[in-house]
Amino acid sequence: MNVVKKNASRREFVQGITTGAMGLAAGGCLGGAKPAAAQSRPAAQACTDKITVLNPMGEAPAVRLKPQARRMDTLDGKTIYFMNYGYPGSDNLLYEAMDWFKSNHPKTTLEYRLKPGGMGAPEDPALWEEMNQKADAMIIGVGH
Amino acid sequence: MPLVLYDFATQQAEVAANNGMPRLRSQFIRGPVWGRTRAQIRRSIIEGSNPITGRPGMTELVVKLTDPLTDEEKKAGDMKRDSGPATFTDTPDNLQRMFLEKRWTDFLPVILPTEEKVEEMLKGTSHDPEEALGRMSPNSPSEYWTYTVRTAAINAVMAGCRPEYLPIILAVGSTGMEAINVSDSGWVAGLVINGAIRDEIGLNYEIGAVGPYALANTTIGRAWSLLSINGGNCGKAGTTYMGTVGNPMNLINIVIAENERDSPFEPLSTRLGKGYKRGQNIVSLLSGWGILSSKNWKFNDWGSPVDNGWRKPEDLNFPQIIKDIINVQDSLFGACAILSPPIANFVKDAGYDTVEKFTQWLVTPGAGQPPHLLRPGQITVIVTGGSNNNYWSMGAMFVNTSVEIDPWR
Repeated sequence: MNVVKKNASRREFVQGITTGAMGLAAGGCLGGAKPAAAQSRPAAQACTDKITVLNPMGEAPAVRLKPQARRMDTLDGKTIYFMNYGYPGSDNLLYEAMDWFKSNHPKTTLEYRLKPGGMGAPEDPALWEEMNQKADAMIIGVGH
Repeated sequence: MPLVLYDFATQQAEVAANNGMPRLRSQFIRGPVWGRTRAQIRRSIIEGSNPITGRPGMTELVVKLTDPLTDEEKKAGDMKRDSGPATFTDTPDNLQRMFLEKRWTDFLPVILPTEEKVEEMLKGTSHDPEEALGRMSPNSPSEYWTYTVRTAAINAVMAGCRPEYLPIILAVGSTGMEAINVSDSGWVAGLVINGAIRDEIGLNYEIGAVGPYALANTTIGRAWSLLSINGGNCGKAGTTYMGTVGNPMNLINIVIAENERDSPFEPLSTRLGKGYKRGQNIVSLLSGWGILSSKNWKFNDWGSPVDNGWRKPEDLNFPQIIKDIINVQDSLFGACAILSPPIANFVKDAGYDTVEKFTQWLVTPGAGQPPHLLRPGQITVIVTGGSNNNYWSMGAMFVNTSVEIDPWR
């Protein structure tokens, strides 16, 4: 019983290639569809006939442009938040960046925050509100 | 101000533009950051340069924080986006080239989607071609593109599908799950198809079941990838695909028709807790790292005459070998076992007459061993393939979702 079924299955797999809707064997050109007159011509000649095909793309959403955040005229007296987005190694990168700011911009206040829940978690509205209220700038890392 | 690895600069620009800030100021650094000590990070990044501009990184960062915004950077309002004309007319050779250049292909030639072929494909469903089918993103934080039944049919033509495969592609497309995820870790996607449709459309579930050895298996998987590329903007290396080394399984995915005829277990679809019955046409969508032959692991070493001889049959404890392999795998995506019917029967004959009993035992730690996978649901067992030898595959794939096929006929 199984042998008969297996053979039937194999025939089906091959049948799809030779008689399927795509007509690979009949076309010569991978475009396939041609005017009736062209179908009797040699494949190479038929390939020079023009055909019309459909656009396969989906639709991208509309984009609303947003202005970037206003820049500071100086870092002195300002507060910069360093937000660890949770990707491995971000902590060490931000700690090192903060050390550089401490040495090179000692009049700047630095705040470190770890995104609650890590990179896969939803944004934390409380943290963003805190930054909106207290931060003059925010550095977030690391994009990988 | 985002700190971003410079390898992701193109992606960063595209994501920022799609979110309304086409010129978002970002600072690019040399990675990877992960796995480096603070001293290494200090030397290569803090004291180093932006790999793109060559300028000292931290000084440049301060400039980007303090230089006034340009007019372009202050822009607000709507930005028009266009998918291009609905049709293109040219010779087949030129159209093949155009599809390739526009990155509408998987780099293999496609069947050009003429109106006639798409109309023929649409005979595989009763749904309106303009019906919204789904929305898809290369990754959940990225933007979602939308697509219609016609979009799916066009991509099915391009993949070489027959019209009777279309309901499966529509069912898959309706979930919005992408075949090609952006992740730099190189995800793989898969389908498991259960029900009578397997025989109706000639899906192979015998020898070579998981490989490209039947038109239906191969082109259905390819159509999913093409729909993801064109309908969901997936798979564009450098922007919407960042797999560090990539994965060849993304080409046609892992398409598995379960061998329900020879399996000693109930079909996967009936074990998902969704009330599906045997015979019902269901497609389950998988995500994970992919699969490999179980011979990849030393636990499945059969020995050889030049060593100490072949292992004795009584030493080939296949359930234990499966458990040993699972215990050395990463747990993020759980584990999957693609069992050929002989191996599935070994499992059954060892006393596990249901998959539920087997997976419960698999997650039970041995004496003195720490727990690894914690829930039976983290292990997916699928039975397919031939009965010509005792081979099977293992990997890490989990069922992301499952959906009925027949409503898309």
